[in-house]
Amino acid sequence: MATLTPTLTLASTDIFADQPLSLSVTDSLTVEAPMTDISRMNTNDNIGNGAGVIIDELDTNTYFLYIKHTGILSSDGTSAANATADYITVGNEDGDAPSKLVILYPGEFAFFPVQGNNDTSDDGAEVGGVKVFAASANVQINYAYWKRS
Amino acid sequence: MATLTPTLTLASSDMNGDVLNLSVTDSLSILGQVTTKQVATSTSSAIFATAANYTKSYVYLKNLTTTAAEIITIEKADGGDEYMTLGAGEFAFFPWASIVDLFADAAQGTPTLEVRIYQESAA
Repeated sequence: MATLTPTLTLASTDIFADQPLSLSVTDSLTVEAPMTDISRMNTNDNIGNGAGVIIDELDTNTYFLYIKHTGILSSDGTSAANATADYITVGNEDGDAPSKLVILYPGEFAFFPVQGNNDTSDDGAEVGGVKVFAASANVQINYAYWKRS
Repeated sequence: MATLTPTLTLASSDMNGDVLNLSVTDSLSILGQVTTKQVATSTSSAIFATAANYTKSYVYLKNLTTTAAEIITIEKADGGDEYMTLGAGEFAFFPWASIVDLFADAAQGTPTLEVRIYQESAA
């Protein structure tokens, strides 16, 4: 087991007229394998569970997931993605529209604890997992996940 | 126009035989509504963010309970796709596509969910 310490700050000096925003939150999470360090993949790469799949749909574990759109096209690993067309969505592995909760444009990131699949019958009613979907061109993402202990 | 600056650090000194020390930040334009509230959840799934009321937004959620069993599940509807599970003191930050409602369902008790929503566009 290991300890993961996430800290998030949200700051703004002009979001409200009369007071700044300065939120800071931290946590101490006990995690264990399976887990990754910070990793990189193309949105169409297969890292073991299918193209674009980060966490398999039948995995019942809860994971803390970090994911960032690097803003780089996967075609050559250097060209910048289009700022408006080359966004990605993050959803369950089935990819139906309601499962695509998160949307990431170049440079944007997310961190959240992923609900494990609670429908091991794999009948499609409660498909789990995490998959990334490119809206246009495939892009590179950074990601990491850690199983909640 | 307002600017929201989120910064996330992820640190660990005892995993993978290496030190994890990630820091990532962004500069987000916030032109639309800002919602800051605390929601009393229960074991009956209830909506706390209606997709039709927002366009793309940045969402921060935190389960404020200190009771381990009071886990909050974030889902699209009662019995629908379950996206996240927030344990005591855990938080989430993500850009929300605003195409599906957000419901909260507590495993036990009535844990409070802190909700902050920052809408990118003016409308």
